Amino acid sequence: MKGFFSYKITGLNLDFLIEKLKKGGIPLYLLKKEDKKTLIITTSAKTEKKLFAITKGLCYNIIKIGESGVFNLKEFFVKRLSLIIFASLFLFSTFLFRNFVVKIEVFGTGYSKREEIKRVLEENGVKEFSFFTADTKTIETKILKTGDFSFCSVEKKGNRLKINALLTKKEVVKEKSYALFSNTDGKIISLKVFKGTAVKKVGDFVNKGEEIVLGYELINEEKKEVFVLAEVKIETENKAEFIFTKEVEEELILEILKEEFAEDLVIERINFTKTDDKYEYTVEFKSYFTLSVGG
Amino acid sequence: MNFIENILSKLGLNESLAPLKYRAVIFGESGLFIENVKSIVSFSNTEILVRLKKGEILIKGEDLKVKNYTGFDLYVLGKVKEFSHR
Repeated sequence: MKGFFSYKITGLNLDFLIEKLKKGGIPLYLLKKEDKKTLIITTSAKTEKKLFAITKGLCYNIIKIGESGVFNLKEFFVKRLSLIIFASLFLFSTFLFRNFVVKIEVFGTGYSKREEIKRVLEENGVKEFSFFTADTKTIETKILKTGDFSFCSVEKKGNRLKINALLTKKEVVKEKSYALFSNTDGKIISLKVFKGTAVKKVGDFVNKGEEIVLGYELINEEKKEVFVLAEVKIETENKAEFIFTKEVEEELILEILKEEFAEDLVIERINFTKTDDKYEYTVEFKSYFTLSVGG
Repeated sequence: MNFIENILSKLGLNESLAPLKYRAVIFGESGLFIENVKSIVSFSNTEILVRLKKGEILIKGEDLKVKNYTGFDLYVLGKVKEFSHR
C-alpha cells in the first residue's frame, strides 16, 4: 500500500527545514506556507520515521493532519462503496445465473422434431427461463431413447442450451420414394434420371398413376434397390370452353387458364363464336407439369 | 526524446557542448517546472527564491505552493506573475 501523510509544521526558518528534509532524502510534495511560521507538507508514509529523526532536536512543532492515497484502506473502501457493491452484485448474479437457461436451440435434422426434444427436456425439468440442474449426458440418453434420433449432443453455452440431433435414417428418407409416378395423362417431353431406372422415354405417352422411373439399378446384372432421384416434364393437351357476356382479350383467357390448370401453358388455338348476347370461346392449349422426386 | 529535449532540439541547442545552468518551463499562470535546483532559499505564498548551481531564480506570484520537490526538480503550482534569473 502506498500512502502519504500530511504534516503541519510550525517554527522559525522553515526554508532551512525544507532543505534539511530534502537533503535527508525525504521527497516533499504539496508544500504550502500558511504564514511565515507555518508550513504544510506532504511526504511518503514510508519516510515518517526518517522525518521525525531529522527534526529531532530542532525547534519545530510537527502535527500530522491527514492521510491520503491507498494507504488508508478504510477510506479507500468507503469512497468506493457503491462501486464495490455494484461489482459484488454483478459477480454474484453472474455466479447465480451461470446455470440459467434463456434459450433452447435445436440443430441438425432433428430440428423437425424439436417439440419432441423440448418435451423430453421439460420432463427433466429443463425449459427456457429456468435453472439448468440436469446432467447433459442424462438428457442425451433420454432423447436418444425416444428412438427418433440416431445422434444427440447437449451442450450448455453460456445461457443457451444447444442440442444437435440427427434423425434416424427411416425418418430422414420419409419423403423419398422408390418410384416416380405420373400425376396426369400426357406426353413426356423431358426426363432426367439421376438414380433409378427409367421405364419410359421422352416422347412416350403416360397415363395418370403410371410409373415413369423405378427405384432400382442394375449393378453387375444384379438389381439393387435405390431411392429415385429424377425429374420429368409432361405435356398435356387440353380443351376449354368459356362463355362471356362481352368480348374479351386473349390475355384474360390465358390468365384464367393459368389459374385453373397450370402455371406453364401455351394456347394453341382459340375459336370464337358470337350468339345474341353471348361470346363463346373454345380454347385448345398445352400445359406442362414438372414432377421430381428425391434430392 | 522527452518534452524539454524536443524543444532543445528544435532550438538547435546542444547541451553536451554548452551545458545549461538550468531548464525551466512555465505553464501560463498555472505553474512552472525547474530543473537543476540546488536548494530553496526562501518560500512563501507570493515568492519563491531558488538557488541553482550558478545563480538564483526568483519566482513571484499568487498562492504559490511547491507541488513536488525531489532531487533537482522543482514543481511549483500557482499563479506565476514574474520569473527572473540573477
